[in-house]
Amino acid sequence: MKILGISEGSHDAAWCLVENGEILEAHHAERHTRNKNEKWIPAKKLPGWDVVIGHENKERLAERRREAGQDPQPKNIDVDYEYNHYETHAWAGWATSPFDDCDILCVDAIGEKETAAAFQVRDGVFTQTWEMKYPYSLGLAYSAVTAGLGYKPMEEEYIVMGLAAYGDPQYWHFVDLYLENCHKGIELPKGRPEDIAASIQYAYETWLHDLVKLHCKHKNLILMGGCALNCVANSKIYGKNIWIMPNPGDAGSSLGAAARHYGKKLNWKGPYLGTNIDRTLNPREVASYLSTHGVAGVANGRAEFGPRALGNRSLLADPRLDIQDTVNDIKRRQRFRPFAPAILEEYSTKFFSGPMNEYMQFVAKALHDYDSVTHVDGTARVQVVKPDCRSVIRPILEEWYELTGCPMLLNTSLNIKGEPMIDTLEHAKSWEKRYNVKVF
Amino acid sequence: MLNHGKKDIMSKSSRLLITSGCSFSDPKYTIYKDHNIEVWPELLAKELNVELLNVAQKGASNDYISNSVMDAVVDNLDREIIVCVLWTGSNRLNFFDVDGHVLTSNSESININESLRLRHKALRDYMLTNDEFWDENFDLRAVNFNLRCVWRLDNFLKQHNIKFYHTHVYSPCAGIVWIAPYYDDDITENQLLEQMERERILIENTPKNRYFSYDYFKSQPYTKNMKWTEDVSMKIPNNGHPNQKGHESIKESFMLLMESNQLPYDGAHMSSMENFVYD
Repeated sequence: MKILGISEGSHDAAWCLVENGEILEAHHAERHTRNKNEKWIPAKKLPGWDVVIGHENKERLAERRREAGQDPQPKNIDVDYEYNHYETHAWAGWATSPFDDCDILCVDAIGEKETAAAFQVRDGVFTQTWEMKYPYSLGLAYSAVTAGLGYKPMEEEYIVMGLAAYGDPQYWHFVDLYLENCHKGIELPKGRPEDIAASIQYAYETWLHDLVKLHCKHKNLILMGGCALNCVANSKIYGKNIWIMPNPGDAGSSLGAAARHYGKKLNWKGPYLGTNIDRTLNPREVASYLSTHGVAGVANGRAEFGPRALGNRSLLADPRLDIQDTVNDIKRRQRFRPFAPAILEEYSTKFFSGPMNEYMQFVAKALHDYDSVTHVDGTARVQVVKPDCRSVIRPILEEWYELTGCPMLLNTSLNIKGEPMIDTLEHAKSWEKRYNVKVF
Repeated sequence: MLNHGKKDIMSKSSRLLITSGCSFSDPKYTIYKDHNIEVWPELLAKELNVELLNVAQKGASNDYISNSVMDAVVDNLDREIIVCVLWTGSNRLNFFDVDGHVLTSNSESININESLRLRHKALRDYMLTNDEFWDENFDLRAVNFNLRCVWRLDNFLKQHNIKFYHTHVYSPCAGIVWIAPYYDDDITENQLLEQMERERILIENTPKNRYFSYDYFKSQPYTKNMKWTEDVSMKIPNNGHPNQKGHESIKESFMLLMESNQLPYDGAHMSSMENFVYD
């Protein structure tokens, strides 16, 4: 039976098709409509299905929206079944994880009437152990500060996280924001944006630490919800085996909805589940081009399902050069924003110290001098590229290492700020022409 | 290019950008003329589309910079003013010649009479050659004096409700002889460590809660925003001053400062916020 999981209505709509435990495909709507953070799925793009599963209970959601004074959410795709918001988050995490028994912590802005939840999984049975109720919300607090600083809430929280490294957490009262209704925003103190960013980041790290301590005692921990993208906070959880599905936000809940309906683990092979660009790529040619030009794009194979470009829709650059501003300018990003390195697994511990994995979900301390891939606080969000990685980035890195002796490349998403990632070959060709950067 | 939201930075019609600094900001500096370089105040005024009053002076000390801005503001109090300052190193002391030209402790004006030149030269030679002149206490006094200049201007502009964006050419501690007695090009790792330790001691010993604010060091991310100080491609060859690319970079730094400072101070975030943070 083909199970189509969908997530739409609020932000970052997505769909995922599952059959007999195999994930056949998974897509972000924005990459098809080219509208960043697209709320709605373009129906004509959907594949054939037997049953459609929604990622949240729209009736309970409508009740909460009424209570909050929000307009009712319009409808788009009709669903056959729907599960609760945090249930589908938890299932997306567990069904793709290497764990059987574990604790799951889901934190984001708002679900239906809840804003966070914790689960225990023992012998395949899910038990909810804790929840936080609207209007109190850790994610909303972070988003309210994001909005207050002039960034887009529900989209640019990662910029605030990056900005935080430049500041000092001076506004200690932010730690109490979980006791306030931040849904309509909050008034920020007069002060430097970087200090405000550092303060909300500090508050979130404190909350996360406390929640893990209180509700997640099992050594296996799964983090889900949009807040699980906070790689700086994730890195401060110690003594746990941690799994974060590479698309932990609401888009990933389309997979969670399908998994919840399927009721068993899925055959997780990695995040390369989107649109396929089937063309020949010569890794040596890419490495050689990078060594002479410094920057090159890659659009090859299936697109990543998740916010991180992990090699198939990537803009790569030579980290040995002082190239951060160049790449930020190509991408029209603020110059303070850091870039991540992708490194051959064999050399990862030589160049970085601390937590890191193949999905850029943690930050590790840099042990090298490549400033372009090191944030101002001396850390980097490392992508460890294993020998069995299914992306073209592995052979490119191998050739790059052979050519230069450097085992890493700067890896950022193939897009410009405010636009969705490149999806099809046509997008790639158009991008290449528009921004004058070769795309392989 | 970066979207700076420049329309919001200055809104009234009678607008004036006042800038000051040392040779890094002064278009009269000979080498800029030789290279036909447009300095950052001119670039900034163009980007903001406002009238410019640049009172920067090559060789200026921070005392001079602070005073020059105050004078310029007092003369234009009927205008909507925004002030941008690029502070210089703390090792400068200024004197004035008969025509009001600036003499500094480490450079000579060409427009001075012989008597003044000799007196200035004697003092300058004494300062540069007499080891007893330079010690930890002198540096402490020098840094304090320079921070007081920053504090004084900051408070003056606050009293007049004038927007003020400022950053440093160097750290206020850089160029102080006791801290940095070595030339950058020849410096060894041990000397660098010694220098860093001296800077730490100086910062820690600088009296807090008076003129000192940690922001004066930390809000001037000269190692990041002012990247040209480390980047040879942003400097005029064989000269520490910024080339055209360097001036563009300084201008960008000020635009970023304006953009980021504007939001919390102006309450602009309230108008840009949607009804609900999460829909």
